[in-house]
Amino acid sequence: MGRLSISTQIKTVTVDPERPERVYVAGPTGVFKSDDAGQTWQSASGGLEGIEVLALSLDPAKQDRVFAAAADGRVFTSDDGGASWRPWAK
Amino acid sequence: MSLRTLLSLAAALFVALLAGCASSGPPLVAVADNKTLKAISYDPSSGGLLKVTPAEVSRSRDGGANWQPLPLRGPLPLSGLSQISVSWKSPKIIITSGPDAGVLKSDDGGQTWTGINTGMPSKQVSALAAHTLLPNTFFASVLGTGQGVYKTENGGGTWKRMDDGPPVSRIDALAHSTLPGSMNTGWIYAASPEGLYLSMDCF
Repeated sequence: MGRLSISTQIKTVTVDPERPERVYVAGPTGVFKSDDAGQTWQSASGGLEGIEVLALSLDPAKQDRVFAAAADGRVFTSDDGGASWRPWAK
Repeated sequence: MSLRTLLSLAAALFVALLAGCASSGPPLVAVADNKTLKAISYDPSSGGLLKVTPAEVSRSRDGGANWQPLPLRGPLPLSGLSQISVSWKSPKIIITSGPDAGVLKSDDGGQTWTGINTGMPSKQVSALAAHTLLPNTFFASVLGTGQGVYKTENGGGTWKRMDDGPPVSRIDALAHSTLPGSMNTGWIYAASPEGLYLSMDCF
């Protein structure tokens, strides 16, 4: 396995099934997004500062919709690919 | 009595009160970590989310206001569940796993579950992923004896060891990708305390 250009601790990883070059990861230092299969990364933690995200998931039917879950059970959602987050609520 | 002496006495009294409060409370005991959220997965069948804690798998359809436990039968191991994945192509297929728990699979959206561990060296499963396109193909990371990445192509009927995995202390998550360029059906990401790794899914 080849190591990618992110060497911080990673707790979770998820891949967009419709755009496989898009990858999200999260760990103690935040949520990050790559649009080139992990070669470069940008922060996707807007609105999640200070919250440790343990888990991520995607809605394959809604482009750019991401879910993030914190250790305390709170769940957040983003409709813009991680640029901004809000508490998950219907 | 000087001000300094008064302050010292007040401080001593405060500390004594704190100690008294502490000693009069319930004894401190280790509490099983059964409620910490470990993983989530979008659930296309319900439009909601599935959540895993060590003690259960549950589903919310209302933005997280209510979580309904799924009927996992039998007591779970002490270390419980830690992973969950829903098949992108067949959303009724759900798999979950954990250290000591092995891999459990549901073919009916979480109503019934079966252990699928034939070919695994142990049930020390640290990470799990469903193939993006093939509903009967899953990947699992196993710790300890026989440590490595395992793959099943028949819905968990049998697992085969594919690779040692990356040189890391453990794998905490796996994800499959259909990114072009693989010699097989795609790629596997492995998340670890030492970073993120990528390999073809043929290993």
